Amino acid sequence: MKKNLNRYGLKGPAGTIHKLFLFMKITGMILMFGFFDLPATPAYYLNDDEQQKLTISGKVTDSKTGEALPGVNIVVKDVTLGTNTDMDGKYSIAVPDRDAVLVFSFIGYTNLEMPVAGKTVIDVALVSQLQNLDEIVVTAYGTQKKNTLTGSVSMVKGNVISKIPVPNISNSIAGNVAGVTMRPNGGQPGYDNPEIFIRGIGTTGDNNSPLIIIDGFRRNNISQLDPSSIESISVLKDAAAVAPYGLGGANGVILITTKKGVTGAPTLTFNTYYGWQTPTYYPDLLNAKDYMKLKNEAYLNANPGSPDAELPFLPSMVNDYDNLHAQDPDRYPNSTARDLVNMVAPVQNYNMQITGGTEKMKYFAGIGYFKQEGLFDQVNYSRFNYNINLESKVTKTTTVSLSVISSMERRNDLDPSEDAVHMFRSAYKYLPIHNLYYTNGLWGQSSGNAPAAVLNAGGWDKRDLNTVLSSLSIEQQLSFVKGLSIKGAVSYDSNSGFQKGWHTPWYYWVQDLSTTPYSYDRRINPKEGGDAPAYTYLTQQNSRGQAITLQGYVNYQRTFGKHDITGLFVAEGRETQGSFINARRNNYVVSIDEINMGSSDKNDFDNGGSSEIGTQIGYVYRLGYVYNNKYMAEASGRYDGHYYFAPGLKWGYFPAFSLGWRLSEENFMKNITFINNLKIRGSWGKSGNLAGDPYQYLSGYNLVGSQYAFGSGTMVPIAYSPQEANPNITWEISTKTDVGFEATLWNSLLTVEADYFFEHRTGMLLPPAITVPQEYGLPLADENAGEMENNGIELTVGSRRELANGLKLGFIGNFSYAKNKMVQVYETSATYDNPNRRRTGRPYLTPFGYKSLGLFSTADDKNNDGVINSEDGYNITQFGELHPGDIRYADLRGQNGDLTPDRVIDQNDEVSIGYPIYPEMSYGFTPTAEWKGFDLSLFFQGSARASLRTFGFQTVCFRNDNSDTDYEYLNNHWTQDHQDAKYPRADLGPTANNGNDLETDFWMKNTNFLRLKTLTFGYTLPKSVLNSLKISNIRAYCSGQNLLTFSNLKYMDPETGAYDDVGTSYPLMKSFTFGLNVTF
Amino acid sequence: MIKFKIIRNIALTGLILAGTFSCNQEDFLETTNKGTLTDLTMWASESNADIYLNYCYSLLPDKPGNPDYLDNFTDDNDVSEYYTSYNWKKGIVNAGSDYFGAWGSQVGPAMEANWAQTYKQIRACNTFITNVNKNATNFSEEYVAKRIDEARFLRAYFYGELFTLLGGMAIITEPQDRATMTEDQLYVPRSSFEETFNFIISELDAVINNAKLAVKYSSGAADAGRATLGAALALKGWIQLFAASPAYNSASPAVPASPDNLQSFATPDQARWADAAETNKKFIDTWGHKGSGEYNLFPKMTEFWREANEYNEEVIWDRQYVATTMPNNFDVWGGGPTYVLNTYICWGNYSPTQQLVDEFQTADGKNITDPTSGYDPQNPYVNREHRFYNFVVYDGASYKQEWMPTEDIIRYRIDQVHPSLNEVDYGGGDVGNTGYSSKKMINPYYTPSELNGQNFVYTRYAEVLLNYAEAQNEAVGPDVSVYEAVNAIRTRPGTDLPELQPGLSKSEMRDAIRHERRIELSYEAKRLYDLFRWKIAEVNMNFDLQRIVITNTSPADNSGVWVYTPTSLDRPHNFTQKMYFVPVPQGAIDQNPKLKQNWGY
Repeated sequence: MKKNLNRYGLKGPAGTIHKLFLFMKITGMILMFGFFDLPATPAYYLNDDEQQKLTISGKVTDSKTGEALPGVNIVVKDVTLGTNTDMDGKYSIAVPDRDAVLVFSFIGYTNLEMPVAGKTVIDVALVSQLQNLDEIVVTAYGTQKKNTLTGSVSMVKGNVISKIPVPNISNSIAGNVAGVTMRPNGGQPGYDNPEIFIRGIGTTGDNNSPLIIIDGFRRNNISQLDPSSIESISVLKDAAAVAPYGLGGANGVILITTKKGVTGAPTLTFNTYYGWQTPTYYPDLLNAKDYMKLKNEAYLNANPGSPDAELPFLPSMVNDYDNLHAQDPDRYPNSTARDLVNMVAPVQNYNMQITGGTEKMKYFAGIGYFKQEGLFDQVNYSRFNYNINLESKVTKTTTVSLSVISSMERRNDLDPSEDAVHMFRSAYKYLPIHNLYYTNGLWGQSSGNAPAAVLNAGGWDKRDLNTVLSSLSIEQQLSFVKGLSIKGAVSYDSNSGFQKGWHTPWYYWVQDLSTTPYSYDRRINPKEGGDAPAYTYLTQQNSRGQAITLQGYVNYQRTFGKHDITGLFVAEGRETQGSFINARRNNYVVSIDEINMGSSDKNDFDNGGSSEIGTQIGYVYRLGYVYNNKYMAEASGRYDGHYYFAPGLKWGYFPAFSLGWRLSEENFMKNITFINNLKIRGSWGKSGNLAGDPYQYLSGYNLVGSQYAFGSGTMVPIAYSPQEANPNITWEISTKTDVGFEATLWNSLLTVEADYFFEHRTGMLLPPAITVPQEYGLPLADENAGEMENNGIELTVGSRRELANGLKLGFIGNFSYAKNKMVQVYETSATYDNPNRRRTGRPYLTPFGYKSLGLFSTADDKNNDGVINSEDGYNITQFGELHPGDIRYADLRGQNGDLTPDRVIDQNDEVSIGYPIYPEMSYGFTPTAEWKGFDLSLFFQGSARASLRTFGFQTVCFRNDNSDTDYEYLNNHWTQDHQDAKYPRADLGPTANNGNDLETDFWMKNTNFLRLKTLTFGYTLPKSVLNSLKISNIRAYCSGQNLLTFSNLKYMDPETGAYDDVGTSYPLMKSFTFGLNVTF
Repeated sequence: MIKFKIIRNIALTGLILAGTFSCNQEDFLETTNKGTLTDLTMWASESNADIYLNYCYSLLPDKPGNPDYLDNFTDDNDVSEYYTSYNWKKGIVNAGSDYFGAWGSQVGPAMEANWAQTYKQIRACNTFITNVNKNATNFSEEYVAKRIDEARFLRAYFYGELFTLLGGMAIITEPQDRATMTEDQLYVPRSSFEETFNFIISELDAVINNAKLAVKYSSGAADAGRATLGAALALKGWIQLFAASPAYNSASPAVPASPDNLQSFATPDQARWADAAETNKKFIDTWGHKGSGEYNLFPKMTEFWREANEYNEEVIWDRQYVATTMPNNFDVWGGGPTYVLNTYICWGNYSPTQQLVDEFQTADGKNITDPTSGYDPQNPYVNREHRFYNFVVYDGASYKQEWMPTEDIIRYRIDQVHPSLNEVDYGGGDVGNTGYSSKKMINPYYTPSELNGQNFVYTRYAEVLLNYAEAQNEAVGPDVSVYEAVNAIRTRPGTDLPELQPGLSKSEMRDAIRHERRIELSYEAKRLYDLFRWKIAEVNMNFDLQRIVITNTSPADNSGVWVYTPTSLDRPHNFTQKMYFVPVPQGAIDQNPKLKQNWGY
């Protein structure tokens, strides 16, 4: 028995876990053998009693510092023996014979193979990977050597990403990888995936997101991954890198590789963190007194000279309000909508991983749990993950891998007739002079909003998503042609969704002040606009999705003297299916949230469902040639077929070519010793992008149920043609050109990588407006007519230095700039003919509006009648009546392209008023320091050249009918005594008759920002302490996220989620966390 | 042994590769789109084809579903600055805008009948007619005749909706097909006002003369809601009355005549009044209260719109609504006062102006301007006609809907002692600003919610009577039949007004009919067309509309008297001549250069 354990390299206190994994391994083997016949006599079961024994010992050190390296894995190649170095870097291992080969591996160092060759003492020095130029980079359908790579690929290690305490990595790629920008979508737990762009936005179409590949298969499951299960992330940017993804690659590709087993004794790692989140910015709404004062001010603006008795609030009462409120808070409320929100929301994460194995069998298993609370009690997100990866060399030439990545997610939200995001709008709309809660604990409403009722009604919305990503691959070296291997891989991914929502009527209480004590009547709140039914209902939806991908690889890799030749051919087929069914029932008499417990009247029933299927086939190739590690040439591409398009138009070909030259290998450079590596490279190629919807080539009638009624309300279905088909519809084509260089100087003291890229996107879908008149009455399917250009640069700089006193300093920084331009885009003659308004030639989503000339002052009102008009010499017609404190617009143009101003402000006066909302520039930098067990890392991220329309609750007086206002407005608005103000004068309504609410540069603000995204400070216990604990590593750390933000916007988050009504989105969070990493 | 292993490994791996790609690639990529029906199935049977006709019906304008209800554009109602109607009243109407929504658009009252939407509706009808004819062998003869008449009626209705706002239209009677049609067939110019009018009338005549449709459906009939002969004849009578009106049929039309006569008749002809009178008379004499009696005035106006009374004898043409699944949202925008029993219930959009309120007569049928009426401006809400109390909520009104446990006294006055939630706040919240709310058409059983399944009535018999009276008065003068028609409405049980005073001049009768029309059809999306066709918008819409301000002479303790002061609403009112018509959207002209723009745009 002991022998067997030894064979697995298992020993020590973790024996029970070993048994567990032995079990799992066997299970895995059984699974694999279901697919692949068991070899007759596997090497695995060779009886090592037959082997002759020899014991080798030695010491492992760092090649540069000479320091001993503890914990280095040492195995005998092709045999299942292994050990680790001790605290002094020393080891001892028994080998079967004199010809054995020892393999030394250690994280952060290059593997080293050392033939025993009869020696009994073998000391080795491992080379740190920082100095290693043979780094392997994950690329499309395989891996390539970094030093001879000719495409533009950025890679970041999983341990960098997993340091950031966010639920999923999509929030932490930007700033860590050059060329990646993002735009957050608010901070609601489970719904906070940002939009990610690679090299900016290259298309005007809806599909502008990168392709996500996980472990070699297309899987849009970035948010389902446990960050700590990630080994590395590669971002593929240029044509050479993305061409193998054919019509999926034009927007760039993110390749995520999950962790695999590492040879050696089992390593058990435990990570946890617990933290507290709070909004980065939360609105500062007026209290009752200031609200009433502002209301009176606005009333006086609209009705100058009104006596006190006519004002909305008697000034005497307002002045005495604090006192009145103290005496009778129910009659004189002073509500704070912030009371609805839990300003501190915990977040917690637990994660355990085990890895180990031998040359024959490596395993990795991880299990994790994450939970993030929201700003309301009912709102939260939780995720349970597990993943297993087994890799077995079943014969000397055959490798079988099995991987399962699974997650179970739950998103909880408020009542199905409400959502957490809308609650923030309700909070702005809650007037402080209305009771949020009465002193007796009951709650009230304000203008149709009863947010407290929503929180207290007991309604809920639950969304579960269970995902299993499984894959199996078999790789076979073909010994009859050296360097040739084939691989078959299959993935089966499935998800099942379950959604259930329970609405109960929202009650609130109306206060009757005429009784003593005050009396309270219960009422139903229909929500502003009447969207919340006064009856109880239940909705339920079940959905399922699956994707099957089959891949067949032929790989060739061989070196003939100075010639390195690589060839890759992959055939890939993929089928996706999805379906859902939903049901609803209304009018529950009994309060049991089961679908059958509702009304039995069929009019209270509803159901629906649909299904879809999609297929794709692709043939990928990559041919590489490297001469003497110096000159590189590569051709890659894909022949791709997709079900979206008409027969005969389903197939496309996307080729790419690239060249590289490592100058540092040239003789004339050899003397320049400070240059370790210098490479220039260039690529050109095409890739595609799916746009629009499938089947746009087919005409047909859509059938929709219950759209009209006859008789006594009998609902009938309808059928209609949504559009005229475009039989020629096809994909977008992106033609990408890239040139770049990479340099490593002074032994990694400085690494630099820089790229310039140019992309020309054609075939973007545009409405073919000019083909038929509007009277045609049927929309035409879009045509592939749009064109856009996108270019920019990226720069990555890294530096690492270790001082004599042991202080290690590091720095990684990156910078991305991408600017696009619409070359061919649909626009009307009205905008095209006016250069100020022309969309063509400008960046996509450029905002347009009126140019403002500041606010009118009282000096502009020459006759002092409170109105600015021709009597004051102002002869320009704006919008309605103008007053001091209203926005003055520039009259730039006349009608129909007339260049002379026409004294009327209208659409002809529009100009471009800012940058698009997504940033043109994005950058990040991470200084790190380590010293005597302490480690400090600061991750800064910033972006520039993006605009936001700030017109919203924070900047506008009474933004919406009956809404409160922010102190940002109150403290900065125009009054007679504050003429040089940031915001216009107070009006009773936001769109009062003055045009202040229009699209104008007045409201556009640059959202340039730099923020300390993550600060981590950790301490690793010294080895001396750990040795006594039999623990190999303990690190405790504290971390903060979004702790500091430098931005011109002081009152809202520059990355605020909402594009339209800013400030009403779910806030982004800052957090403080404490964490612990333990490795056994 | 080794060799065997190699061969086996190759074989197995090859099998995987082969398994991946052995299937026919084109078959694999050929997936079925189950979401759509083909031409073959769509027209295969009567029941299938009906599904398409259902679509044509579903395109009937959802007038009450639009928060910027058509009466917002008139002198009857005041609504806040968010709305398209507010821009329009400011004088902002922009052919370049292609946003036809309710909020802040610059398209004027074209929202519900805009160019693109109308031609979508017309194409739907054309598609049905063409395909049913083409596949006639799949249907019974009776089906073809009846359903095509329904589609022709719908098409005429859709044409009429845009014609009455925009003038001459491009007349297209079959679905255009760019693959087969010539440019001339695709790019159709606008027909003149007269040609468009003639087309609509001839289509309706065809439907009426075919006589394949039912005259009327009663409540409970399975086909209730489908087009009827009654609807066709009433629509014809309305279009004829509209076209005969001075804005289009006079020496000085609403806007200057163009060479193409797109917005008025080339030659004014008073005989058009007689045509309109004849059609409306035919309705009254054939199916109305003077004929078979299928159509008549409903005796209880206060309950006219209730779901229980759908398809009552007065309903001629309506749009269907069904509680929960296809609700009528009219109430949500303005179902009476904003606060009832201290409860917020609606947006308060339907706020009658002082001008509309002043139009209501006293109980004895006199205008309040009549010195003998006994009207007291400081006690204005007593002794008014029944319709005032049925339609309008005013300060001090008792309000009791079926859903309310108790009645509520609604207060709009400015009261510092007992402030009311409904107090006019001028620009602040959802509370209306005129001091009045309209309660006409509101579902009494529910607070505004998706439970309102009341149908929206486009045309009712009272309008036919008023159409007749107006046309006959203009054509012949105030003869007995004119009096009869107007008096039928005035003396309806529940309205109970005295008959019109005998001996009115033609002009006095005209005023009486216009008055009656404004009150009887108020808040039924009718007033705007009257403002246009009577050419009175330049006066009525350039008037500083008013609200009522009610204050106490001793505001601190209410010990004084309550003073009623009609006060300016201070809303913009800038009606220019071009606004008698909506523009052709610039986008439509860009796409079809043959289209001519309306005058002034």
